[in-house]
Amino acid sequence: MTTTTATESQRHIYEPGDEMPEEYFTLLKQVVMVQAGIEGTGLFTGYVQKLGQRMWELAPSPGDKVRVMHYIADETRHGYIYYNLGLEVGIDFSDPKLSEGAGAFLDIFNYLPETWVDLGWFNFLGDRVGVYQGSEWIDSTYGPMRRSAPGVVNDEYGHTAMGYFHLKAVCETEQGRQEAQAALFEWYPRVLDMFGKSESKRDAAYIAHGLKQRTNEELRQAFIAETTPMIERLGLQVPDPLAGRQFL
Amino acid sequence: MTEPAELTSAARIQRRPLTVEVNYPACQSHGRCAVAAPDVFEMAEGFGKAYPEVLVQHPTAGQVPRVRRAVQLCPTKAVLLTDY
Repeated sequence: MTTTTATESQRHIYEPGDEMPEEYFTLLKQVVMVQAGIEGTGLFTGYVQKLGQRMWELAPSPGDKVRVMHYIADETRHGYIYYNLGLEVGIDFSDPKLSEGAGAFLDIFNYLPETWVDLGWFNFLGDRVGVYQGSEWIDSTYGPMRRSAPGVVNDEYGHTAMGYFHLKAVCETEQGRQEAQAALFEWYPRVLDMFGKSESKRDAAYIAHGLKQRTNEELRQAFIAETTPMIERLGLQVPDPLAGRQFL
Repeated sequence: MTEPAELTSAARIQRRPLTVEVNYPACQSHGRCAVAAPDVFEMAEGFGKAYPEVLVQHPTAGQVPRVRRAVQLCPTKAVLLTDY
């Protein structure tokens, strides 16, 4: 395997068709594979369709249905973006791991929201993680990633706002607030696990090659610091960030 | 403009309370709604971008013209009013 120095690859933006160091290509393919696995496979495994059906059923008002269907349209488009990026780097979508769908890459996608409150957390916190992950690619050394990321991140901002305001309405009653608190204890560890292991072996290499800018743990801590005051503004208690976690 | 038809029997559409909503996935944070109707929309921070929070879900008769202006001004048609 050819090696290249961190500085060398950080300076250069690679485009499809360019020759690139083999080590860089291997890492790039891994990054794209994960994102294609999370979002691109949703188009084939039926996850987006199931989520859309669930959101439609859970949305309590016609206005809520307008919002959640717009969300599904956005996510379908994100899936198409990452499917195409996957094809570009040579990912085989018939790979058995990819056919398992998003849940094989991120555990949170093994849980379909059961209630409107669940969905609020899924959007407010889960899509907020999408902002953090996508923001890492805005400065990526791979051209297609850095070009596609701003639009995706922009959408995720709106998704997280949608979830927050849904929860804010729920938390206006004491019963709603209690339901939101109970659901938060379930969803919070799943969301924090979305950032991956703190001691990721690949983090340093990704950062060295400009495929990521921060470690998993740096992203997770920034997320906690940003969302904690917002959760507290809803009148809720932020769970222990280590409780119930699978990936520490 | 033609005159309304002569009434042979009368009917009336019941007025519903107007409801204001924001389609957040469509919103691009231009903030024009909060300029048009600052007593109905307030830009809330904390999401990476500011998004309008609806302060008054059912606007008063005095607020309705400003809300209609907000609907017209939103470049992404993200402000929803249940009457057009």
